[in-house]
Amino acid sequence: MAVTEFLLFILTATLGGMFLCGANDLTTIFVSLECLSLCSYLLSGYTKRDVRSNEAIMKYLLMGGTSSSILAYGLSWLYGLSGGEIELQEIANGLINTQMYNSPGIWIALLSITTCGKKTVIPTWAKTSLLPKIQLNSIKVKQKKGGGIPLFDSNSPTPVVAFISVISKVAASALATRIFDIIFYFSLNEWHLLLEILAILSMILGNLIAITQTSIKRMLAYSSIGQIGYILIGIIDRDSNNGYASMITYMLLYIFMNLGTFACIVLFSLRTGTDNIQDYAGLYMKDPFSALSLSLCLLSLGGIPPLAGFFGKLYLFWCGWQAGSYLLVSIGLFMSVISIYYYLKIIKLLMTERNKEITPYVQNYRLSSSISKNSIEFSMIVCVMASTLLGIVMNPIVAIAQDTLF
Amino acid sequence: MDKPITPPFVLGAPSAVVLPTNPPNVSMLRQFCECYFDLSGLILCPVLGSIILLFIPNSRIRLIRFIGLCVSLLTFLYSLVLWMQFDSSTAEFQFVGTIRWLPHENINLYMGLDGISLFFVVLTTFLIPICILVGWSSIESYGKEYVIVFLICEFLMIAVFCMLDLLLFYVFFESVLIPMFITIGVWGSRRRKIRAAYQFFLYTLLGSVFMLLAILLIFFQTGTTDLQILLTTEFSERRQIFLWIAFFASFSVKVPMVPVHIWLPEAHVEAPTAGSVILAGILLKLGTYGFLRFSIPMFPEATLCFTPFIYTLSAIAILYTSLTTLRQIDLKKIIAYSSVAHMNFVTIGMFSLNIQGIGGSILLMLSHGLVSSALFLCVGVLYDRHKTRLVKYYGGLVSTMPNFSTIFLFFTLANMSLPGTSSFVGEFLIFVGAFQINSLVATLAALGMILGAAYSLWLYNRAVLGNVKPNFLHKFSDPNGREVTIFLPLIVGGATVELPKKWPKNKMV
Repeated sequence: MAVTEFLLFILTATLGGMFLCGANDLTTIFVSLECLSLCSYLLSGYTKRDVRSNEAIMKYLLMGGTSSSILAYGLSWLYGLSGGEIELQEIANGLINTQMYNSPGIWIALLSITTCGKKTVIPTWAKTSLLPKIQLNSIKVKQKKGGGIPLFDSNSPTPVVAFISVISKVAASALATRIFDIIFYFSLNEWHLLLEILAILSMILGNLIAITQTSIKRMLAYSSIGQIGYILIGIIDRDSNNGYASMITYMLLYIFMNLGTFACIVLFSLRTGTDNIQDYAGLYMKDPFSALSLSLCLLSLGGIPPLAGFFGKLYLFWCGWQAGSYLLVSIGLFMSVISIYYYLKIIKLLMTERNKEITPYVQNYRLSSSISKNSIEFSMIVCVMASTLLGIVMNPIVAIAQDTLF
Repeated sequence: MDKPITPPFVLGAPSAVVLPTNPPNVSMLRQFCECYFDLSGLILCPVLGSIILLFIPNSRIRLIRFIGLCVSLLTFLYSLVLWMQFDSSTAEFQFVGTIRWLPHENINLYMGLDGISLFFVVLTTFLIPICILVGWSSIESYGKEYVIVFLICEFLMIAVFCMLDLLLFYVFFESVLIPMFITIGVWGSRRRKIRAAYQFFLYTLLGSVFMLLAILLIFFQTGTTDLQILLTTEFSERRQIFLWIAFFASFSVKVPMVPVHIWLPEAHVEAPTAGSVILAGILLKLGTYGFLRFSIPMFPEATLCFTPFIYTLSAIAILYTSLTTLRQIDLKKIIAYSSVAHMNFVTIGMFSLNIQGIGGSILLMLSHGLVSSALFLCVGVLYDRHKTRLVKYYGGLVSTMPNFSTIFLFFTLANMSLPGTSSFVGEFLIFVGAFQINSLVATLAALGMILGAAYSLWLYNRAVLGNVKPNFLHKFSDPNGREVTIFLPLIVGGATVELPKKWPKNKMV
């Protein structure tokens, strides 16, 4: 399978994401969002020989198309209400001029944008349920083939899942910040309420459903829904309480933690071909290095001091408490403990020694030293270092985040 | 005699001292004692040691162990020097050093020692070389990681006792969980070790979330997490009660108090010998240290309000765990449950809030650190030889391992607080203190002391005296040189009744 197109899609998706972060008017928002989405669809359908992959891209495309049209509808409302303005700041001014900032039209626009936002901000159930299935099926394909297989073969969905999950969150959070703060400045209570409901639902559902998962990728996907809940707390708290700064800091740490975990998972599935959580049992005996990296990244995701994830969460809850969203912070703390439970389950499995629990996958674990694996190990090392040590240098990071905002 | 002004973060080097008018033959020791040592060196020494060890390849295990032992002994000597330089005439924090970390929120690494933390730091640095010595020959796999984990654990524990900033105390308090989890999970001895480590982790973490919430609340009320400022803030009574409960949730799991004591017997049984030593010797003290340092001084009204609650829980714990100990068949579980009972003595003494009670509780904490660790080491000696911890297989050890029996007798007597051992001093003071407040609780606790004698002596009776059981054990060997060396310092510490003159007198605020 050609690697060129894969790289092209990833780079273009990144380009779309970057433009989305910097978008200042409606057209740019829409175009860059579409760029990001189209590339994501294509990436998810990359292994086109696989039936499941085709199913995934079909569902993702249909859902994405629907939400894009809803978004366009909402944006058109904004265009009309503001009297023909496109730029975000001009829209805000236009809304003041036409005295429409309290009208039901704003409600419609808000709801439609949030619905579209749900698609990007919360990785949808379609993506989370399908892409792991892709992984499972494509693994079976690989085992039949055997022999030397280049990196970007049937296992590409895992890096794709990692990439999409991180990039859609970052870009969508930036977009949400911009839209909610600039345009909907006057409808503060409404979108606060909406986002609070979304945050509570994400945190509770994401963490509770992740407990019952048997596939590690699916568990990670649901836990990332929970993480988005925490990030939404940051968006709700707004600039005056350093809410956005805390969100950016946590996003930075989250990128490293999430990608670190995915790197370990990719490494493991490349060597054994499975992503069932029970198959991770006893990994510490065969490959202590990757077991340790996975443990550190998971603990950081859970928020254990002194790792970086703790400081990120601390700052988020700090700003949340200062802004007065006591309920959100309490739910967030409680859900953190629950998330630690299922992360610890995996770590517990990694260290087990009983032979009958260790599946054939780990028993036949081969530590191959082919070139294609070293890049994953390098990225894993970088992510693990960052997710453990970045907590110490929180101050410069937070200062930069606070300085660069509005 | 002037000392030049030094920046607060001098990396362990003694600052230069100018002695203008001294005779040329001033003794080296006096000059040495005039130097001003710093806490940063004490904290960094184990970290530097572990970093050095990271670079030595796994094959040279003897070198690794030797360097680890040297680093830990160096840290111990450093803490002894700090003890010598400690000025016991004031109740202020000494050796204070600050590292700015988050200037915006006013959170800094604010370290200092006072009379209470000094002894815990010395206890920590005293126990870690013993732990490294214990694992000298019995750890077959991952020997390098063993030494590194213990050095990192030492660093974290010293940091906990030195930290005067509430948030960072919490960070280090929780961080100790990670090396302990690794120790129990990797080098534990039995099949249920993962479950034990897991339970240990989750129990502690659940309580600690509440403490984090409380710390946030405190910060938003006062704008700082600096302990010395917080000691002077007034919290309203309702808020104090809430904060006290939140702190209690976290500390009570570590103490451990009934009903959240369940993790302790499991963790002790599954942990390797050195892990049990650290767990019993230092980790249990973190909870009561937290009470003493944070709960009682910062929330006085709430403490008064909850004292009956603590008394009830502690009295129940003492009687319940002592009675449970009588039924146990696993050597380590017996000592683990007796640890629970001792720590609940400590809380009774501490919450009597008079000088005898608090002094007794600190003494009992220190002596329990030594005695319980020594008992676990004795059990470790037996386990190393026979690979079983069930009491029924042991008997008549006095005829085959006489030196060991003597050492074991000494620590058994110390465990039951025989007059003449250091734990007697502690327990007696606790009873004196508690009796002044509530005679019923003191009576119940004294009952617990009787039960303590019961289970300790019965264990000794079954295991050491009587006839040898040739059905089960065949080969015996008295403790070798290394093991006796481990026990000697503990005997010296446990036999000390009269503490040295530098015991700080008025350190209670």
